[in-house]
Amino acid sequence: MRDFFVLLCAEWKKLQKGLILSLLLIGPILSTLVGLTSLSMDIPADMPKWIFVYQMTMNNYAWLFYPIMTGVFAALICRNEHTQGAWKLLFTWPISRSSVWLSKATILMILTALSQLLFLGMYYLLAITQGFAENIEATVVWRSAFSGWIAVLPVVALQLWVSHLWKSFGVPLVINILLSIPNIFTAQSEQFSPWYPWSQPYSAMIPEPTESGILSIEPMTLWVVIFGGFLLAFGGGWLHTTRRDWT
Amino acid sequence: MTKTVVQTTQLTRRYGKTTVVQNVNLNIKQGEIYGFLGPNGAGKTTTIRMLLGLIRPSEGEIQLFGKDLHKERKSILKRVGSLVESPSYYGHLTGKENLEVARRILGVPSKRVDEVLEMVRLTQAAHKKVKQYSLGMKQRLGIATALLGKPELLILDEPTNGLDPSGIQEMREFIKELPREHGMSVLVSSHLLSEIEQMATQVGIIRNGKMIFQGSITSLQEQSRPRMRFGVGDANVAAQLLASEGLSVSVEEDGIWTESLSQQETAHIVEHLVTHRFSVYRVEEVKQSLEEIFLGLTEEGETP
Amino acid sequence: MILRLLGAERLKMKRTWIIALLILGPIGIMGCMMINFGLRGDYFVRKYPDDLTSLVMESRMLLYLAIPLAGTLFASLLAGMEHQGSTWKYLFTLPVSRFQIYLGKAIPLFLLMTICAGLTVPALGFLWVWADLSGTIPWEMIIKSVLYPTLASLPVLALQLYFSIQWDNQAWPLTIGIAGILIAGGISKWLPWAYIRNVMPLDIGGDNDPHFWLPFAICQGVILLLIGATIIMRREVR
Ligand SMILES: Nc1ncnc2c1ncn2[C@@H]1O[C@H](COP(=O)(O)OP(=O)(O)O)[C@@H](O)[C@H]1O
Ligand SMILES: [Mg+2]
Repeated sequence: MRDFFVLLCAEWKKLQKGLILSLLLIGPILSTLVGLTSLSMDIPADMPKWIFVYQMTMNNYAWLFYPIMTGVFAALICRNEHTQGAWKLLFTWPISRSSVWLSKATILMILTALSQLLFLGMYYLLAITQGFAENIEATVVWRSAFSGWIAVLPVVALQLWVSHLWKSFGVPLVINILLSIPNIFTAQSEQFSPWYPWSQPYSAMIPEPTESGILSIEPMTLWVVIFGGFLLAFGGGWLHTTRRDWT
Repeated sequence: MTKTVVQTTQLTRRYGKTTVVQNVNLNIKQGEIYGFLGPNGAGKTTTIRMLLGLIRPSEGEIQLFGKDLHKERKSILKRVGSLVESPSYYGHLTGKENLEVARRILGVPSKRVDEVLEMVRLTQAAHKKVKQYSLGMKQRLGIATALLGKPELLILDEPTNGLDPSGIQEMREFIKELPREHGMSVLVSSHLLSEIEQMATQVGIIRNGKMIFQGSITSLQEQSRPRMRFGVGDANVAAQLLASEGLSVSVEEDGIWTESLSQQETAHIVEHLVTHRFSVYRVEEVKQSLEEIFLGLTEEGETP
Repeated sequence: MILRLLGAERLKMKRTWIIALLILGPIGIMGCMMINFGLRGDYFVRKYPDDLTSLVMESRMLLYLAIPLAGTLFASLLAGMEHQGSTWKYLFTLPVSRFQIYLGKAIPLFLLMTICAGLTVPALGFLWVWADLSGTIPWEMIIKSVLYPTLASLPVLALQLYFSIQWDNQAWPLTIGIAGILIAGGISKWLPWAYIRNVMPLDIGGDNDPHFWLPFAICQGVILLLIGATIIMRREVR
């Protein structure tokens, strides 16, 4: 456990904060711009303005951008080890391989959480400047962001595994994008979307009425697809990275 | 008169405010093996990058084969082969495929690939992926690529990096033969004189971006002033005596050392020591080794 | 000269994911469309006036994401290959003008996109038969709806190629590309990523106009390519 915290600190120090922050900000800023343009559209009469704008902002962000960026960040936090040949250095230190895997996974989860926070932050900024901030129901948007974060975890684990495997930055991204593309259809299909891991962030982030629980995810999907998928990819990646040869 | 292959005039390069290469005048003649020496960070790679047009000089001019590099880059580069710092390669391709990529761009006949593989003794490993090569093999592949276009000038930046002693020896023999057998001129950089001295005909020494010596190995040897060693009993007392005579001496464990002396001066010191009943059992002139000269040159005023 | 560079480029692609993407891309598009028509085919009959419109409109959604995404990935893979083995510095010491080296990447990028498009056309033709749509296969419309967006992606290709060569950390070009594709189109129709949508041969209530946008996109693509090449030609290589 000590190994893990030491490594986590080291990983955190290694991150190029400026780069990460800029990459994290691009999506939320652009989505919010789309949200801004949506203000000039006809807002359906039965829908409060704040929820309409949230929906428009969220659409662009969660549909494909968020799962794909998760892949970019996974590749990014493994890039240094690949290009500088630092894996072999890392694994010659007297630390357990599992804690290396665990610390990378934790960092990636932190980054995806930060992405959600920045997304919410930008949305609030838009709301304040456009003067509808006081109407926002905080529980709804916070739950949406939190559910989105939980829903992206299988992608986190799988992309981390794939990024450990390939030296090239592009390859994990090719895989991630190819798997994300079906979202275009599955997100609209009731038979398919509960089962497809890449469309979970979007489904989870659709704002739900206040009274539903902490997570806006169907229990079946939550336990089978999200937790099941996460455990499978996380365990697979863990077994693989702790056992393979590092050259 | 032999032709000049490389000539730089007042070559200078700055990164921001720091001057990394300053007023360097390289001069390399045809058929020479020119050793470009200097400690790490002296500016060797920066100079070589300028010679290849990878980066631009802040000031000064570069002529290769008597032509201006800036104006006739392409026709000049046709006649140059190079290996800069770490070797460049496509890890997912085999050694032979890597050479084939370069061959296609250069437009040389395909049998040349086998020739250069043979030259650097990689024929055995030709069909292995380069990411499985050892560091030394990658380095040799880099040299094979540099040789592919039958260059007249070969520029090698620290080619022995990562090689074991026998590899270094092999590389040295290999480079030595190039001018004789293929009429090439070679510029080879290194931070170790010992690697260069047995093959280079000319050396240039660079330190903190400034060229501090350029000439033949023999003229480098002449740079050193020999010192005199007196083997004397009771050296400390004897040294005090000589010092009181106004001579600058130093005591080391194997005797008393002075700067080089004329015959009279030597005779005088010996006589002096003997009259004061010191036993003098050895007097000799000691030349510095090249390595010591090099270290002496490069260490002087190391901290500015 | 260019032919020799292309020959070299061809060899470099051996055993890379570029080839995989070339084949998986069109197959993926077909697979997605098959699922889409399989699941929602009945609904399309009600939603669109005829089968031709439903094919074009539904594949449109996919194409205007898949085409620029493929371009972004191809550009990154082509440039990343050189960053990875630090071969830029080697390429730039060859007796070839830097402009040609740049073209030696731009042309393969465009060819890869053309091949992908070429494979997508029969894939959509197959879908027409598979989904049991009425009438003969509307080849002309299928070709147009694949070819136009591919050509309209030239500005995006030029930008992505430049970014991928400029930065050795591919996180940058990929993020910009992905953000552009997914979001920029919704912000303004004048951003390069939007052209791909603007040139669609058929639309319902959209402001598509291939006659204006196609020449516009191609010209802009060429200009951006030249600008990118000029910047890279002047750049120092480490
Ligand atoms: N891109 C750069 N930016 C700033 N300084 C640099 C850059 N490249 C090299 N230097 C500096 O230039 C000096 C000379 O480097 P280099 O030519 O690589 O030395 P050598 O090859 O002799 O070891 C070093 O002090 C290095 O820090
Ligand atoms: Mg160097």
